[in-house]
Amino acid sequence: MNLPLLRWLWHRSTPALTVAAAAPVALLYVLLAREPLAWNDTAAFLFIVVHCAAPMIALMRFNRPVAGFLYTRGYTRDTIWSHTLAAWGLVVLAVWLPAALAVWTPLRSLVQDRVFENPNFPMMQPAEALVPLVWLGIYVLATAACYYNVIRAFQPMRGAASGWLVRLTVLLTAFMVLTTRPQAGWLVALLVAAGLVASVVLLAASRRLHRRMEVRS
Amino acid sequence: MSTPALHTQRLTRLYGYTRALDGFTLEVPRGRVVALLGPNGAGKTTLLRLLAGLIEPTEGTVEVLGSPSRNPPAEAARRVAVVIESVEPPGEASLSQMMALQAGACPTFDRPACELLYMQHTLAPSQAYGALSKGQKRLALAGLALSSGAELLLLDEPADGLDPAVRRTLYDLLRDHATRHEATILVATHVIGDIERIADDVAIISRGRLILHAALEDLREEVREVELPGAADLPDLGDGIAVLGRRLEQETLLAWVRTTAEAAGQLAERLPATATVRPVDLETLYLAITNHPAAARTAAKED
Repeated sequence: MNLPLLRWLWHRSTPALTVAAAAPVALLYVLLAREPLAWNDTAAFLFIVVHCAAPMIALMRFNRPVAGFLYTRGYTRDTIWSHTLAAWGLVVLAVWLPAALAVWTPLRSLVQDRVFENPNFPMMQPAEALVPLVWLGIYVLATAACYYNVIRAFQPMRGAASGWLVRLTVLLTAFMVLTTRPQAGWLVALLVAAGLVASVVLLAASRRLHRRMEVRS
Repeated sequence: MSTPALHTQRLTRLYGYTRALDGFTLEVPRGRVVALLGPNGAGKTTLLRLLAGLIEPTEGTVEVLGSPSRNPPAEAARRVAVVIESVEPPGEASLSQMMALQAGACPTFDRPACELLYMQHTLAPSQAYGALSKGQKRLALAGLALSSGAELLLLDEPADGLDPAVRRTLYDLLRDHATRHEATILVATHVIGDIERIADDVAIISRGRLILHAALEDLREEVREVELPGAADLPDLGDGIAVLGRRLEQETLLAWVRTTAEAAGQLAERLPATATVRPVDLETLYLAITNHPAAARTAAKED
């Protein structure tokens, strides 16, 4: 891990601002939500997608002079690719981990039980334990999809509209999952497996495309 | 024989329907300082971007220090330093952060030397890049390039915005870097005086094509300006003499020719007695072969 590069990516205002804005929102949501947390919670899903997409697109505008500066310092494309992902991983962890810990420790349960006198708690605490992991999975998928799309848009001779098929597929899948809210165990397992495979494929493809990506500052 | 520092082969780059580069072929041996000259929009910055690996050629190939400029291996990537117009760090980045980023990529980066250069020009490491003047920004970027120990420097107007004294210092440093590291430097500039100060070779680009690449010393010896009063065109000058440009101005033909050493005597023999042959300076030659109307005026003024 190249710490100067990681620090450089972290210090660019977007990741730090994102953490500052999103971390309290995520934590407060987890502490204050009265209903037991569910893996297919629409609000959490939208939060994750916006949290991933907006800042990442801002971070990776490859037509800005700052991108040209980074790409001409002597780092290989693969190094920049992996460190951008690592910087983004830190952003996700800084937002997701406090919220996840609030679920896994008795904090959420205590707040609901003692402050709000919610009758579901502490009984529901074990049932919520898997939810943060599903959120992390959605984070991984959303990050991979965003990263792939941004990099694809800057392929030689391609415009920003490139990659529309992937975007459409992700949006339609998300819409389907949110509206049908599948409950069957096998379907949920299938969705998780498909999400994992899609994440791996998108990340591998983004790494390959990143080697040819154009920086048009 | 070592691989050339730069090698482009039939390099073409399109932006939409515009040909920024059109079959550009150039080979630069290691250790040469090459000035890249060309009018605005000639393709200089596109060439530098291609060499820096920021964009991909539409056709042709680009090799830098023996590796493809796109996605080179780490050991090749860190041996190239780039200062290109409009490629700048974010305004909030401090010079210290910029140096740290550079050092992270290049183990050969000499941070104390970079800090010393900054200090000599009243730049503090804690200063934000965005707070610097245009000249200071140029100096800050040039400092990173010069301290990186790079074997190849790609520079686009590196002295733009610098006062004459700092400009001279910068070019002296570049020359010194080329000598100490046996480095190759490709520098795009409009200032002919700068070129004559540091360059070994000159490459002139016009409308995306390389129209001249030669050693400055050779140009001084081999290129001549021919003035032919009352002539509409040049007579046949024979083999070994290339016509680089010509212009008809008030019934006088001005032509710029390049002769080989063997053909030098042949030039006077083939021209009529009314012809005047004289040495030509780089600026006039540049204006002439890029077909700039000022070339004839410059020549006439010298008379």
